Order: sequence, then structure tokens, then C-alpha cells
Amino acid sequence: MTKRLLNRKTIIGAVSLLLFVLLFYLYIPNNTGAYTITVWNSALIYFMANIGTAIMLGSCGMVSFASPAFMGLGAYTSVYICMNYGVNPFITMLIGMLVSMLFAVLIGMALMRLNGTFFTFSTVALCQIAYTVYNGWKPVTGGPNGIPRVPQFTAFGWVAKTYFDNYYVLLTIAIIAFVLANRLGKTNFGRAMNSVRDNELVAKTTGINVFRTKVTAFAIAAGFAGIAGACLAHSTHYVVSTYFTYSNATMYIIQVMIGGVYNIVGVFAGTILITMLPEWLRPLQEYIKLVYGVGVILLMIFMPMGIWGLGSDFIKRIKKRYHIKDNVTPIGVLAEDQEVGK
Amino acid sequence: MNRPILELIDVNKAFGGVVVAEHVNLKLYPGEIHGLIGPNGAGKTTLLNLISGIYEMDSGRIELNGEDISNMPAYLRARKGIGRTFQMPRFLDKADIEENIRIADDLANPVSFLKSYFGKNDRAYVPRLNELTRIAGFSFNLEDDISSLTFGQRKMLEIIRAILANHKVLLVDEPAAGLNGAEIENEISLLKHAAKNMNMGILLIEHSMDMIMNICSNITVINFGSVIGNGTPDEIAANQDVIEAYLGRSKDA
Repeated sequence: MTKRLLNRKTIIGAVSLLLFVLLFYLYIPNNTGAYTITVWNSALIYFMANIGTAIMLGSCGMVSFASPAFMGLGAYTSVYICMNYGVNPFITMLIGMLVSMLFAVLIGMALMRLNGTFFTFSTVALCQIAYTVYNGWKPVTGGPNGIPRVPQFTAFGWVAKTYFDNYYVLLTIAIIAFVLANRLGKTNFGRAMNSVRDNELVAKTTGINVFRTKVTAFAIAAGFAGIAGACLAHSTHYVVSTYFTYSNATMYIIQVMIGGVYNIVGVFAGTILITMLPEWLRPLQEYIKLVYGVGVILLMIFMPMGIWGLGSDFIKRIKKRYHIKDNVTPIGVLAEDQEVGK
Repeated sequence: MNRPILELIDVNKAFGGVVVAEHVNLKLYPGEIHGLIGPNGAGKTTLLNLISGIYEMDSGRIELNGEDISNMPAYLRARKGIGRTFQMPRFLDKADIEENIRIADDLANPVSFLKSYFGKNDRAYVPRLNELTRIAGFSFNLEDDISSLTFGQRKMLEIIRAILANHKVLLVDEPAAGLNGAEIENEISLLKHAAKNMNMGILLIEHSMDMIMNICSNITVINFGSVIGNGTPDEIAANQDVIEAYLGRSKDA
């Protein structure tokens, strides 16, 4: 059996993680302006929320537009506790995340009785309801005026004063979220989600509680959205209902789909691409929606598996070209050696 | 051997006005391969769906090892030990073979989520999988896609998946349909291995009479949802009702 710790995959993974860390911790903050770094910040926040959407879509096979609703829940909970009780933002963010997950369990128990498209439409409705609440419940959420002067990240006397400080905090949280979510697919729960996605009948007949798996996936997605929403509030020092509209939800879904739903690295790429696109396309400002719309359609036609799909196809081609073989575990033997009719 | 592992007592089911199971009684013993035959549309697959919990029955009682499982949802019945295969093999199409096998291993050796999250990704099931695949007479790589297997191999992998899940009862739906002669031979060895060496009770739906007569120790015949014959292969071959159901009544009888 393969017990080698240092196989090629591990080495490639470790090296790319190291390069990633160097690039994102050292290169980007030192080579971008004060405005661009705020764009990076929002990209990192979207990425956290998109991890949840990708888990729902890629692992569990359900399209959910609910992430702004849970982002809002996480954000307002965190801000409320932080500003009224003076608790450290890092703690209130975790509370916001837990509250999101709790609500997701309760809501999920109702919504998961619906299948496929019906579930998707119900999450659209959920998103709209949540927005109405955030916009209307003025004493708590500040309504359309929002809540200004949300406390910034602080820990052990250190205070995140600039957007660059926020960048490091958000990057660290995003990496933690990435690592946590990446491992999820390799657990028994990850396999349960995949079987729910691919074949509910197989799931049931191998002892998987389909309903519970779906509700749990929904809660996990809400947890990622909740922490993202809380990050959004504390890093922009402001929280307002328009952060959590339905149009944001469609943008998140597009980011996830463009990246590639089956891999979180792909989700990251898609999120960065879509968030950065308006910046890169600034010369075309007036036509940006047009370019964006046509671009999304073309991407979906020519690379339905997203950036990750394109990347893995490319890697496969390289491997074939240079005759690199994957480590495989052969099972069974050839037909000649079998014991026929025992 | 004298206590049935699975017992159906007076099971009834109707879809609207169409009766698909009527007063069905059936006993399945551990280590036995029990044939379930009948003309097309007789209600064989429906009965499997009732046993595995995919359909709810209207009335009656299903006991697994003496325990009443009549009102359990499908996934709990699977955890209690009822496994099944499908007429058209069903897998997780977007996952590789390893993941498809591991869902069975997860059922056989349940671990907590945290242990699975932080623990090592061990492959303790590989030796057994190897043995079973050798009996089934084909080979593959764990990392391959399901689509790289032929139809026959997929049907056998479904049985292997169910065996790896350590089920007590295995419901097999038309395993030989679409397979060639050599594959059927291998499949028979696989089923015999499951019954003899693992003491599974196997309920087998099959249209190939050769296979049924060859490997079943008991046969139940159903038609229009009700049992019309029950006995050893020899008794069934001589049973007048069964002959009628299959061949029709002769004019001057």
C-alpha cells in the first residue's frame, strides 16, 4: 500500500502553498495601492462566503442563493454584540458564524423538504426576506442607513488601523477557511454529500441520511457565509442592508461557477477573477456590464467546468505529453489468473 | 439456520388501484440464496423496494433478525443490514471508484466525523476488495472513474460494494441481465462467496432460469403481486401454477 509520505502530490501541494503564501503575504500588499487592496479585501471576503456556496453546489449538488442572507445574519450578530457589549470582534465573529449556522439548521429543516429547482427558488425567497428584514428592522440593523463606526479587528493590543492590516487578517481567515473546507471533501461526511449529489437512492441504501446530510451542508455553508459577513462589517467599519441583496447572491453563484464548483482552488480563482474584472476593465467602464454578461455566457459555453476544469485538463494534457503516470492502486487481477466457478 | 434473517409477514402494497403486493409472506435464511421469480410486472422489484424501504408498504410486517423494521426509513434499514443492487447499476458518477467503495466502508466501519476529519486516510478495505474483485474476475485502479468500467463490471462492483458494507441481507435485482457467459460465471462465484463465506442471506431476482435453478436453494414465485409458489428448484419446476404463469394454461386443461 502507498504509505509514502513524500509522494509527488504532497510535494507539489506544499510547494504551491508556499508560493501562494509568499505571493499573497509579501508581494501583493507591497505592490498594490490603498484602493486596490480594498478590492482584494472584498475578494477574500467573497471567497469565504463562496466556499460555502461551493460546498452546497459542488459537493451536495444544490444551488443556493442564500449566502447573502447568512452573511447578513453573521454581520449583524457580530456587530450588535461587539458594539453593545464591547466584546472582541474575533469572538463576536465566531458567535455570528454560530448564529448563522443555527438559523441555517432551523431554516434548512424546512427548505430541505424541497428538491432541486424548488429548493433553489426557496433560497431566492429567503434572500429577499432576509434583505427586507435587514432593511426594515432599523433599531438593530440601522436599515438603509446602516451602522457606522463598526469596531475594527483587534487582538492582544494590536489594532488593524489600515486596509493593509485588514488584508492580513482577512487573508489569514481565508486560508484557515480554505484548509478547513478542503479537508471536508475527504471525510465520511464529504462522501455522504457526494452521494446525495450523485444518487440519492445509492445514498439511502448505503445508510446515509439524505435529509440530515443536506441540512448539515446548508449549515456549514451558512457558517462560511456568516464569518464572511462579519469580516465584511469589521473590515469596512460599516454594515448596511445593501451589502446583502439578491444581486450579490447571483454574483457569488457566478464566481463559484466560473471558478469550478468541484475544487476550492477553482472557487478562489473565480472569485478573484470576477472581483478584479471591473478594475481591469476600467477603460471600458460604460460597457462593463455588457462585457461581463457576454463573458459569462462564453465562459459557460466553452469551459463549463470553470477555471479549475480548464486547469485540470491542461495538467492532464501535460502528463500525457511527458508520459507522467499517476500513482494508482490496482485492484483485482487479470482474467487469466482468476478462479472460475469456485 | 432455522431462524430467518429476513421475514415478510402479510405484506401489502397498492399504487392507487393497482395491487403490487398482496399478502406476501417470505422467509430468507442466512447463507441462503433465495430466488424471486415471476413474469414481467409481477412485482418483484417493488418487493425489493418495499424491503429496502424505498417504498412504504400499506400493511404487513418486515422483520430483520427478529426486529421489526416495518416503519424504518431506508437509510436506517441499510444501517441495520439490508443492502441492495439495482437493475441498472447505480453509482456516484462524478466520483472515482475509491469514493464509491468507501461509502460502503463508511457503513461497515462507521467512525465519528472528527476522527474521519483528522484521522489518516487509511485503506483497510483494500485487501478484501482485492479478494472480491479477484473472484469477480476483473481489475481496475482505485483512482479510475466509474465510466471506465464495462456494464457487467459495474454490476459486479455493485455487488462488491454491498458485500463490503457487511450487510446481513443482500437484495440483488437481475444481476445477470446484459452480462456475457463468463461474467455470469464470475458473478455466480461472487454471490456464492457472499452466501457461503459471509453468511449473507441473498434474495435474488433473475430472469435467467439457468442461474436461478443453478444457485438457489429456495425459490419464491410471484405473479400479480402475490406468491403463487414456494419451494426448492425441483418443486418449483413441477409446480402447475408456476408453469401456467410462465407458459399459460393449455387449452384442453
